[in-house]
Amino acid sequence: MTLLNYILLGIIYFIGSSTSFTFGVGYYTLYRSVFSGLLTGLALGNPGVGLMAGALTNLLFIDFSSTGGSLKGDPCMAGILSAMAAIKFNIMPAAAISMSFPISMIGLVLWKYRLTINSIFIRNLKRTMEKDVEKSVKLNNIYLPQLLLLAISMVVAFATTWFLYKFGSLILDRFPDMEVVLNTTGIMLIILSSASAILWFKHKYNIILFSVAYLVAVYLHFDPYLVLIVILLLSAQKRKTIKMEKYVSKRINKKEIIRSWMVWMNFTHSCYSFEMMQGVAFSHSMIPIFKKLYRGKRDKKDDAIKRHLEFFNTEPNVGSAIHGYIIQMEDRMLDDRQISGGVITEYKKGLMGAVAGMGDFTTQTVMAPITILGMIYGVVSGELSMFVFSTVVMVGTVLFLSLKGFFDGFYYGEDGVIRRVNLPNEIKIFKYSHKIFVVLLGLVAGESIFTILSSMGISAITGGSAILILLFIIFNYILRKGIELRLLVLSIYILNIIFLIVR
Amino acid sequence: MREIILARIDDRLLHGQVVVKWIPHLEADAVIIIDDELDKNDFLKKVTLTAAPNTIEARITSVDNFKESFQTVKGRTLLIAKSPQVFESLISQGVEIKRIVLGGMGSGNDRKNLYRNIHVSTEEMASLIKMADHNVEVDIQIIPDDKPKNILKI
Repeated sequence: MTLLNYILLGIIYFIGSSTSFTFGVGYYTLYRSVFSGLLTGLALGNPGVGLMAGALTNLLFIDFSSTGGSLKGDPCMAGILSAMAAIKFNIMPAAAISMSFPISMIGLVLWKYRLTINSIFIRNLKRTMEKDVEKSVKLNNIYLPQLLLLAISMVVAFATTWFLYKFGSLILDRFPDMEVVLNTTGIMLIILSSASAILWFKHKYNIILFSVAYLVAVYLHFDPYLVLIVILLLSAQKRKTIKMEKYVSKRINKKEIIRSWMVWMNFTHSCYSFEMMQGVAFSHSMIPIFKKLYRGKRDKKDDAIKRHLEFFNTEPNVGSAIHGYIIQMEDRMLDDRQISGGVITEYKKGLMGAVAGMGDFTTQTVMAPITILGMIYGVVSGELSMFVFSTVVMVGTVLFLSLKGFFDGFYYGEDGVIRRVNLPNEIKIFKYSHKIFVVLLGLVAGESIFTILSSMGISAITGGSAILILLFIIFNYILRKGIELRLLVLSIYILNIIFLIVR
Repeated sequence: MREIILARIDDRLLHGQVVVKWIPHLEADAVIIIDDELDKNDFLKKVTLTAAPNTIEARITSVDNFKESFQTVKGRTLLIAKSPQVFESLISQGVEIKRIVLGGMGSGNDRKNLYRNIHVSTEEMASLIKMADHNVEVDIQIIPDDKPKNILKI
């Protein structure tokens, strides 16, 4: 590992965990193991191995969401470490996973303290905003927190990658058998995490559905595109057209709304803190609007920006209808005395909570897991075009949903917001999302285990993969009995180490 | 058969953590949001009810009409309100609440930080302590995965 390697990995970790500057897409792509693995592969000169290690690592985090996944860890860091271990030590991908997973826990600390650390910038913002609020918001929402994050992520990434490199070289040199043991541990971790992920949705026949899909993948190697077509057919559906009255504004045009959307999407979580959550980003996203509404009236513009510096937290993509609606209210406030800053705050708070629940369901438990499974499916089955296609679908969905939210909220007001909230009730894919997830996970798990066993050079790949379904069923049963996941992870590691010593 | 399995204090009312984490964890059949202001606002009421997951019955009511509203649901019921005083008032009306969790209370309005995203005013704290002293289990627990922290031990 050269110094340049370490720096590049640090930068990959920063852009992944920052989730800023990427139009809201980064959280679903660069932050996930499959992408951080690919980028690490590119940085270390072996994108193929990096992508495979990243994709398999991502299976550990398939039910990851901001409200907390079942297997704790930092997906971005785990992807970087797995890819690095697979390339630098030239070991099997599953072995790389079991090496990197425990170390990636360190990344969680960063996330946890980010919300506390960012309070510094909230205080700084409150102190300096009287002088020039616009400048102060930009400084404390973008530059200062992102610079600090860059510094911290570089240090954390350096420490973890350096540790893995030194420690990994040491033990692999000393105990050549270790690779086999690590590989078994990695396979067991992947099996355990899938067995746990299907418990995400409580359903009696989940394990049966999963097992059938798994065996179909192992024996028949289902064409990923066939699956994709089924999913696309379910989601491509024309929504009922309802008659809505279009709001006409003399002051606000599409241009200002797009500018507001760009600020919001790029910096929603840039200065994420316990006090305000996305509050600074909300206020920041209103600056392009207020610049137009209060042209030449600096005091009024500044007051409006300050008025929005308050607690705000919602699902950023689906919740964008709130922004559109609030922009409409701000515009109407200039002519309508019934609307005051207090009324706007009340609506903002009422809407953010309601939309957050269905929004998280829409993106974090339906859109993200299904498209990410599509990406992994493409990688493990060797259909790279499927990986690219799933990525395009995900990026397109995020951009379309969020921009359309701004427009619907602004042009159709209350109707637009209700239409947005009604989205999962109307589109069929949401109704079947549980089953789609379980079946797709079964197919991807089958294909992944098959790929892992193939790389081990054993003779009975199909039979071996098929037999492993028993382990899924056993893990699933143990988890349903209420045994903690953490405990199982720990015992997998301990059992494998004991096995090494005994042998 | 209807029972109150949990009462949650959260000024975001029915939001992400409740929908994605608590409702599946509790295997709740119904959720009742008790908030006088929300009950008066037709638009926000409609948005909240539309956004509620299809798998459960959702109601919005004022403090005074709670008992009537409770009669219209079945099974394991989760209550959500913005402040502890709401639950204190329900308990004094004879509603049986065994456990209250604090999930999110924003800063401002003379509220002091208690733990992470939990801020309380002096009156709210007094109300919480009073209920805790009267055999209601009052814990800080943001999501089900968190370990509950009892309010009397902070």
